[in-house]
Parts: sequence; C-alpha cells; structure tokens
Amino acid sequence: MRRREHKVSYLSSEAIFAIPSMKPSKVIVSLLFCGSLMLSDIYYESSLKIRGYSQDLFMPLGSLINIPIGFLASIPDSLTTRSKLKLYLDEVERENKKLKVINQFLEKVSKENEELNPLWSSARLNLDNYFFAKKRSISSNEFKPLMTVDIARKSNVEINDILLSHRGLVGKIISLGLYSGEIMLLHDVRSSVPVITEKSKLHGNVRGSGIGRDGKIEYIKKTASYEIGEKVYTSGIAGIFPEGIFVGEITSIDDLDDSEFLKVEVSFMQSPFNQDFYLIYKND
Amino acid sequence: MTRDSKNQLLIFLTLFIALYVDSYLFLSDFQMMKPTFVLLTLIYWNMALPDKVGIMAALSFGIFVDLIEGSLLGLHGTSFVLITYACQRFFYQFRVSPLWQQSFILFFLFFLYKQIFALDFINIDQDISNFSDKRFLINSFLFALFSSLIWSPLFLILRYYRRKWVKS
Repeated sequence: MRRREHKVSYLSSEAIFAIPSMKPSKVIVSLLFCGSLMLSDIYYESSLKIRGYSQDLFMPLGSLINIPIGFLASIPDSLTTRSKLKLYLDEVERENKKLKVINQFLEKVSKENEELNPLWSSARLNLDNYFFAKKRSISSNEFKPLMTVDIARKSNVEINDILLSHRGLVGKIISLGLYSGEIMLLHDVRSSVPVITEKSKLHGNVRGSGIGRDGKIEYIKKTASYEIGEKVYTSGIAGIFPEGIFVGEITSIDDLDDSEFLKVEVSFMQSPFNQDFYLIYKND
Repeated sequence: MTRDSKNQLLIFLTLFIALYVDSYLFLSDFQMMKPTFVLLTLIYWNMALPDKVGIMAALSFGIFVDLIEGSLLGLHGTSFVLITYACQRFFYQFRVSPLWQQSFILFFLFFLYKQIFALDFINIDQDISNFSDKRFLINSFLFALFSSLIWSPLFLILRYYRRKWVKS
C-alpha cells in the first residue's frame, strides 16, 4: 500500500484510511495561473491569437455533433421507395431548369443596372469580396456570445471582415484558425458599430447588450430627433463596416431624468440561431 | 495498461462526452440556460473518486470550456478549480447526503457560478461593473434549476458507469 493512502494516528498508531483533500498550495498556484491568463487576456487579448486554432482542434467535436442530426434527417429518405425518389428527382430537375432560366433573365437585368449605375455595381457586385460561411456553433455566453463558422482554408478571409445574412449585419471576425473563424456578434457587449439612421440622418454607435436583448445607440444628446421604427444602417465611419448595411430598427426612445443622454434602443432583426449559412464580406 | 491509467482514461472519457454534450447547439432561449455537463461530471468524480480527479483536470477542462465558449481565458478555469476544491474539501459531508439535498446545494452553487459571467472584467461600460439584469437573473435561476434537476439522473448514470467499469 502506498504511503499517501493512509495516515497514522498519533494516539493508537493505527492506520487512518482517509483520502487526503487537495492541497491548498496547489489550488493557490492554479488560481495564480488562471489569474495571469485572465490578465494577459484583458490587457493583450492573448486568447484571440489562439482561439481560432483551438476551434480547429475542436472541429471533430463539431462534426460529431452533426452525426445524430444527419442520422435523423436520413431516416425519412431511407423509408421512401425508389419510385417516390424518382418522382422527387424529376421535380427537382424541373425546378433546376426553371431557376436557370430565371438566372439568365436576372443576369440581363443586372447588366442593365450596371450600365445605369456603375458606382453601385463597383461597390456592391464585387463578388470576389464575398465568401460563404457555415455556422458551426454558438457559445452559451449570454453577454459575449461567439459564433464559430467553418471557412475554406485558402479563402483569404481576415480578422475584422464582416459577416452578413440576408437580413443585414451579423458581426465581425475577431479570431481566425485554419478552418474556423470566430465571430463577435452584434449582440455582444463589446461590439460597437458606427451607424446612421434612415430618416433623421443622425450618426451614433450601436452597442450590443447580450443575446435576446436590444442594442443601444450610445451618447445621444437629448435634442436629437429619432423616430420609433426608423431603420438603422452602418455609416461606414472607422472603415471596418462598409456603409449602408442594415443593422436594426429603433424600438424605443426614453428621455430619462437622471441621464444627460437619450436612451435609444435598437432591435436586431437577425438572430444567429435561425440561420446556418452566411456571407463573409471582405472590406477593401 | 495499468489499472490506474485505465481508470483515468475512463474518467476523462466521461468528461469529454460531457464537453461534447455542452457543445451541442440548442434553441436560442434554452442555449443560455442549458446545464454545464462538464462541471456536473467533474463534481461527480470529485465526490466519488477524489484521489483520481485532481486540480489539473479541473484546470484543463476549465480552459477547454473557455476556448469553446469564448469567455475570458481563465475564467472557467478559476471557477472549476474553486468548485473542485470545495467538493474535495467537503466531499465526506456531501457524499452521504441524500440526492435531493445534493441537488439543493448544487442549485445555489450553480446560481453563484453563473453570476461570475455577468461581471465586466474588461471595463466595457464605465458606469457599471456587471451586466446583470432581470432577464439574466431569470436565466441564471433556470440554469441552476435545470442543473440541479439533471444532477440526480446524471449521478445515477455515472455511478452505474463507475461500478461497472472504473475498478478501484
């Protein structure tokens, strides 16, 4: 029997078979180590340099998660007969032909638009600046939610590129790995987006307040004339977010007595939980 | 492979499975209040076999969770180490309590644990030191409730697993 598995009583010299609890010195060393990690993260944002690569390491875990979902999704297919599948295939082929025809018309319309407005096409239709990204996971951190997306290895995506959905701005890339990108969502308390309102044309910064909460436009003077329901777009100031991307809608304006600023809340229309595919926009 | 290392492997396997369950993406509201299975599993092993699970396991899994969750690096590590120490310090008292009493204690422990994540460590807002609001308190309450409710079935599953596979 090993020495550490028992103590000897001073009174009777009998063995006491008690499991020794963790040594406080070890706990203190661990806490000091964690403290130094936290300080380095606070002052030098050290975790951002390794988070993307650590998500690459956890990628097999993400793939494992999809196994039960894929299995459940494949059950109806495996129960369908061959004739039914053939009918479905014919239907899909017809739909595909229809889409090809529509695309041809759209290309024509797009060319006409380009001729009419070359400035618009240069700003918006530079397709090389867009990359597809698939959502892998969202953290359960309520105030600093992070979304991890799968990205192609040589996709030329960089930190501070922005993530878009069909409903507007979702967030920006803060950490990159080889196959993963971490997105700071608009809802994050650290996120601050320079915006301009649709009607009143007032500038401000929208800050997130956490998942499921409305964002706030900061430091707005009480003389400002916002309207409820007014749409908010990125202003392009600071250069990170390009101009004119939809951010949200003003839902409430409060003039509080104990504050020198207006309390303006913005509802984000885009929920990261409802969508799987996104576009990364590379801002030149 | 020695018995000790086989046991360690089996214990770490449960912790990795718990990490896998934690990474699962649930619906928006439930995502914020889902129980932390890694911590529950860690508490179980600290209580059942305190000499097999040490501070290094708590620290490493805390840092893993930090990296997955995107929280301040070392924050989960700190809380996991403190909870592990408390469990090891008081496991004689905790282990003999009935399951409902253990769940009751864990409810308060998990409620406190959740509050750490509302603290504003990087001073984002000059006026406040934490972001906690009514919604967060409700979510924390539900998180603690779900964690304490899941404790009994998890305890029984892990106990069966330990008796079947982890031989001392």
